[in-house]
Amino acid sequence: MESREAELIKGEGVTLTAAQQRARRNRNVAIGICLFAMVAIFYAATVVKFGPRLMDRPIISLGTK
Amino acid sequence: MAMTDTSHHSDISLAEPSHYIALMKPRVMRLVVFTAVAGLIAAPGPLNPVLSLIAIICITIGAGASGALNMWYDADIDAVMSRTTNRPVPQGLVTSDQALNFGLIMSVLSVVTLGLLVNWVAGGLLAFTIFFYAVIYTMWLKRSTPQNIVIGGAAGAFPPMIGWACVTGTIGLEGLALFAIIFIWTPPHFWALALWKMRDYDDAHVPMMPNVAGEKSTRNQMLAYSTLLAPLSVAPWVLGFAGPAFGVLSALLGAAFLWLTFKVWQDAGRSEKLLHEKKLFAFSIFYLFALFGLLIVDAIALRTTGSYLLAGLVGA
Repeated sequence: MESREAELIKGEGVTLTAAQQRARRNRNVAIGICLFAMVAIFYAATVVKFGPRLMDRPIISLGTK
Repeated sequence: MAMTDTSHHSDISLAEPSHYIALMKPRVMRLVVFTAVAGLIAAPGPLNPVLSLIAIICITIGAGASGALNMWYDADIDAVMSRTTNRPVPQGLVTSDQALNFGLIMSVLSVVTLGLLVNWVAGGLLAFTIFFYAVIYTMWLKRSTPQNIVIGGAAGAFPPMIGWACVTGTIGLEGLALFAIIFIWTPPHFWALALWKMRDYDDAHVPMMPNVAGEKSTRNQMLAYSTLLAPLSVAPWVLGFAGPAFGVLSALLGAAFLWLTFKVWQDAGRSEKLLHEKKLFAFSIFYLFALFGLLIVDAIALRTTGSYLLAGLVGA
């Protein structure tokens, strides 16, 4: 897979230098971490805001309201 | 289309994550975190630890985003001033387009997250802070008026107010008082630095008060601001969101600030090494950390023991 990708890139006439590849990889890792952090933040906030209230209601409503 | 050389493409980015972090002005962010935490914890109301942490992260990222927008717009003057010449954009590590995009994306994400997860008063204030710093300060006033520091100080004064709004959902007199302390503190703090830096480098690409209005006028204005700052320091106690221990210590801090500024004014630059100015600058940093640190300590005391520090002594 990797070599095919490399060939495709070569076919475009672009070969990244080692430094460019390393920078791109580090940027990708950083973006990945940020995306994960975003998801974790919204997940945690949802649990905090709604969690206890979700537990506070009868599981089956018997229409006694 | 011409065939390109297969080996070297120097237009492909070499930017590392650390360069993007540098765009966010980490040193400024530390002060933002500190003052925002103070506003958050001093505000009356329940504090959820998770939401508080999220609020602080959002405020910090928002402040960083405005820093990135500032570095995008100011790349031309950053390149010629020794203090700023090694910033990522003038160094060519990050292109100005990348800095702009990064700043915009982080602005939107931080404001929307704060608004959705905390409240929209805080989110709106954060949006206004970014707009104020990036547009009103950086694009407009910084290069056109020697009052730039005064105006720019307002941007730095918003974080504790946003912290307060995160808990209470309002701005309030208390939030405004925290804002006013940093706002009034900024000019004497920064001009103390400007007074001695101006002599070292005659490098004024930006109108600074000592270069434009002269040293005498600058010192007069510093004294005026410090005179205002002294009573403002005590405001958290007067307004009832800090205790008597804070009241006494903040009065001492404010008085010391005023005294050191008075020495700067009195000496009027006669001592060649400008020791008074350097002393005032160093003390001004201590002042801000001490004042907001005391506010945090007092607020923690209230939240854990039910009363402010030493409140029992005065029977409050």
